[in-house]
Amino acid sequence: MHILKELLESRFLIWTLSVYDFRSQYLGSMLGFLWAMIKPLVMAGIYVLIFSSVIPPENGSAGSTSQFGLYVFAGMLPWFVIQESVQRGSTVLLDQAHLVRHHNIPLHILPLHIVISATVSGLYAIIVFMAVKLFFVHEINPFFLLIVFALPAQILFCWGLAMLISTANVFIRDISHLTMAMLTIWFFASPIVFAVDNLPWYLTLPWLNPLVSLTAIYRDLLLFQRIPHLVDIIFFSLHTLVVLAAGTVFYQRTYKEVVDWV
Amino acid sequence: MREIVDATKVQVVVKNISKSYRAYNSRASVLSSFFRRSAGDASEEKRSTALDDITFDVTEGECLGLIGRNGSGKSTLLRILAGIVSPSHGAVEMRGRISAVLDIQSGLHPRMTGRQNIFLKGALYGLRKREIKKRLDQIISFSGLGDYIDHPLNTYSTGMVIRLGFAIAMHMDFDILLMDEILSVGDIVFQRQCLGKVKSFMSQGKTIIIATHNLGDVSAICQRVIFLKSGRVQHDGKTETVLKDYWDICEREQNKIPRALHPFNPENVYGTDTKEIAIRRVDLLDGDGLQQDTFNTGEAVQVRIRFQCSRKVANPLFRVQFFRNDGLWVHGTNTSRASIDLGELEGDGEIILHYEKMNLLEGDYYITVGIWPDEYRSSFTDIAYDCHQWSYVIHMKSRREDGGGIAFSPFSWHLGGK
Repeated sequence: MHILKELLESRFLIWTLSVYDFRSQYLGSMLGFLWAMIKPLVMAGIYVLIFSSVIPPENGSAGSTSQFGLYVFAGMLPWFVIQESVQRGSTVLLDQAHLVRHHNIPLHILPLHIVISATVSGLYAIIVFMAVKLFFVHEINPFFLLIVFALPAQILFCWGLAMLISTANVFIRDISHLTMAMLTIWFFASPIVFAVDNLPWYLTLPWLNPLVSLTAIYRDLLLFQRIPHLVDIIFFSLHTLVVLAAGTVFYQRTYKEVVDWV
Repeated sequence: MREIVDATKVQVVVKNISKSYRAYNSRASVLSSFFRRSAGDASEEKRSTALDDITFDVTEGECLGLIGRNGSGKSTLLRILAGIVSPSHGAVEMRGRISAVLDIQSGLHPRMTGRQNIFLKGALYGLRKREIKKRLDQIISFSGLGDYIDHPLNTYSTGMVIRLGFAIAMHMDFDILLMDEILSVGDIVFQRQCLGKVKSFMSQGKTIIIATHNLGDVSAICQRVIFLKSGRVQHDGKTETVLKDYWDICEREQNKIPRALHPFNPENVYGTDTKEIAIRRVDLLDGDGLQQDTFNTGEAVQVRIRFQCSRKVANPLFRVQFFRNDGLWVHGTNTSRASIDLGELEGDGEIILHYEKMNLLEGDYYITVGIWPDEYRSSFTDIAYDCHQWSYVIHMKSRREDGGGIAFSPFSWHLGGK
């Protein structure tokens, strides 16, 4: 509850930090925010190329190459946000040590601003995805706008994770390196570049891997244009609650010591 | 004690606060200790103390200065008052809105413009958007940046960044202002402007706590000063009294030779010494012939040199020199200057240089002892029988009224008419 009050009081600071963080990434480049669209396009393009021509997909829910391409791209949309949030979030308390040491600000807003900045990048990626989809499918209906209801949960999920890892990383610096390794494993153990049907059954358990539900929600809304399954919504909400609880509990036990260690 | 002070006017209450840090190498055990804390067995690990049992009150409208050497705990104390660092023990109560200006440059975004940075830094100080908008014009005009306000910060000079940071910091809303060593930044004109701003806060009845090394600032604006030494309150009182005490201690420390710099194995730096006579031992004695290493200014000091001749030596020259810790040659003498003919020396012996009054002032001084063939060869060819360069240390103590510097001469003051 204390955290909620702090969030409310520092909303302008959170917003300013997030916007400045996002804008400063593209400041001074000629293409500017276009890079926020080009980067996900290239990333998704590479994986589509590898997994469709080099390692052709078996018949399954993916279908033809363009369909498979869209399938992979849609799955990567939430991954971009989670990856950036966790990667940059894990070291944010050390990167922003000058803020930690000199300003009386609630520390949990530092991982949060990275998450929001990553979410804004994610929105650009969604726009690119819809443009690519329009190019191949020639039809679009406003169903995809429902994604905005998934974003708050996604933000809370990433925030909980980033809060947990960034705080722990202050005390044990190995954690950020460990996190990088775990991210790679997580990526290939998730139904992002693989069709769900091609993964072994134990990797598709929605209670084990939150990305099973989250990618399904993204694909349902953006690709298949249908209401996501209730199971996916429930499981991702549960994952969010657990991660958020773990993040806040750990944060509250340790934040007073953080400034002594950065 | 609390009843004596009018409770409504006390704005800052600091009660027995201490701060200690875990030793760096105990890092690995930190995480587990968070979960053990409730059991209460955290006391065994190694800790270093930054603040030790600090207690004081500040009343509304008071301007308090914090002084002390580097590492005395000023910044830690300010950061605890600002609520950034939590004390290990004790409690702090701040009654009113705090503005903590601990580092005016931190948080500024180098790639954003001055104007954007005003919003960012304002938000970091806890302001809302409309509060910042209200102050925007004042801040820009105080900073004197003019059109540069819309240029990115990385095109600014260091001074411009500091001016912007200070301008933002000086336009926040607060009852209590905490400042860490930031008044003496920028050029002289800007420094005056800043000092003026702080003085206007004082006339508005704001409470100010300021940590600084600039004693001029302290005496210009503070009525009260706390002198911190190694994390403890050494002196808390009126500005003049505490500054005098602080100055006194600083003066004493400045002429000290750190233990680590005492060369305890004397060595002849002149490689060409001939060793016909070797120095066996050098001792410092007081007037009664007792061995000492610390003397009061004006006391008798004897330098006793024990030597050993491996063969007969005709009238060698004994020399003793005193040097300050920075290498300044303070005093020196030798037997030739004093026109002493020692005749022919052989075997073991000792010679004593006797000072009736040692008039060196407070500080540590190196002593060089040498035995040379004669004065000319010692100054031109650097050939010594034996020489212990900067090998002994004498500690001098003096009273404040003896004066400052290195040399004492008896004196008195006389006020005359025109």
